[in-house]
Amino acid sequence: LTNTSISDAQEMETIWTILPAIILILIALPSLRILYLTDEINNPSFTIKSIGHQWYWTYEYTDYGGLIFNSYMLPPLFLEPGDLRLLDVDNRVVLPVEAPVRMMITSQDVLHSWTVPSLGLKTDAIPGRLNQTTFTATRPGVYYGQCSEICGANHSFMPIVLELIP
Amino acid sequence: MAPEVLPKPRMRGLLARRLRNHMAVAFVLSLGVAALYKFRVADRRKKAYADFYRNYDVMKDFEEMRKAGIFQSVK
Repeated sequence: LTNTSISDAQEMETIWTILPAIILILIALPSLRILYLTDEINNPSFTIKSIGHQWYWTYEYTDYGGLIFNSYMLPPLFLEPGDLRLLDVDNRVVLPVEAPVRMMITSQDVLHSWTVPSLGLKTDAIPGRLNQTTFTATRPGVYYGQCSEICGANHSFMPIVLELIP
Repeated sequence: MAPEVLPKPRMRGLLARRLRNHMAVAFVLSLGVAALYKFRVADRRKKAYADFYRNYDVMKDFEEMRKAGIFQSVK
């Protein structure tokens, strides 16, 4: 590693180019494997469509009949004691626990993002495109999220609430 | 008071020696930290999750939440 061997020295230059490349490949291969594993098909029990609007969400349960409803944030004047300001909605998304659920997410107008951080979910709602996310919740409860893509004046006022029930 | 005189370093090959030593130490240190993280953090976390879910009663948890009145769809 003296000056004579590290300047204009093809052998050293080759080694310290090839060796890091090999190391990076060794890191990338398991990483790509895991990436494709997370995209596995897990045979969801059912599918729900989530459509973003300015500034509310529409949910469609079309597997067993045609239930479609809008989910608006509860305005502060309509909150009851115990309700969470800027988080609670009028109609919650009710889902089963321990069953794989597929969410198909899109938007009617501008970009939105359907997010539930405590379930590790964030999927962009893009007009003209259907994005898919699947999850299996293990614990019952009420899970909150907020729109995560700037979508206009009331971007902060279109939350998501999931009710997970066994 | 005579100032202390440090021994003169061996100048020939100083950089090469330093680089070699540092590379060896860095390699051993990185392996050590990775192993420490795996056993003390990652494995402990996996065990904690496994222990929690081993005897987890979904219905009991759900009943407690239902009685607390947090659900809209079931009362």
